[in-house]
Amino acid sequence: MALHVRAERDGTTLHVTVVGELDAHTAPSVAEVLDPILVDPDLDGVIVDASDLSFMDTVGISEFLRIQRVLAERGAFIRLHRASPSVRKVLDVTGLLETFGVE
Amino acid sequence: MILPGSEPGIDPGDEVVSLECSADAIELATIRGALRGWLLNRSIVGAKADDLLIVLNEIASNAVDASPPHATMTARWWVEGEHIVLSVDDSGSGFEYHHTEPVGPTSLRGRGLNVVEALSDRLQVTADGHRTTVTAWTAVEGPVA
Repeated sequence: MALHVRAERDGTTLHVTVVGELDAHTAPSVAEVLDPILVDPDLDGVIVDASDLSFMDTVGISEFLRIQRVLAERGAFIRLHRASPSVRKVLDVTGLLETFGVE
Repeated sequence: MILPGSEPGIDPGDEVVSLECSADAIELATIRGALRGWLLNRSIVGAKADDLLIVLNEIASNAVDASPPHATMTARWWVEGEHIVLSVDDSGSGFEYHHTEPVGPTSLRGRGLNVVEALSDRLQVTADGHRTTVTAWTAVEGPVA
């Protein structure tokens, strides 16, 4: 199962869509797409639409945490919106719902 | 704890699904897909199926991390009473397992076994110096067909 990552800039916010399953094999796609954009100092927030992210494991979480750390250094944020029950569960048991602003 | 080479308790006659593959992250999706199909055949869907898929994936992902290049791993699962048992063995040399400490929200790694512990009822690690087997028991409600 591949992972498709798409990013669209809207002013100072980056809207990211992730489709598929995020694990140790597919996690590098996140960095490949996002890292070149995240260096922009004008970017103040990243909103990830996770509605079609059907699976995420702790390697995927580590990838988003790494991005969160990069952004937090300059006061920017990352949010995961519309997480599926499975993604929500793995964020819940790792105590990271709040970190990623998951409703 | 590391228990010397003992096999987890598989009742004779139980169907054991066994999937041998290279200890490579590319196989994680295949392993999840096989378990997903097996669960669906037993009408285990929704949150419980999600939990089991997360548990097996984390154990297999740990096995990939622990394996030398070109090694294999074997994922197995079966029914044991009210539990579904998920197990992965690899050729890594094993690790000391104690109850895992919670990982803080800023730590980047080390969450895999915490997640397995949170979503399963019992976790066992056995090693004989050549193969390491991690096995998790997760209760499911009602009989498993």
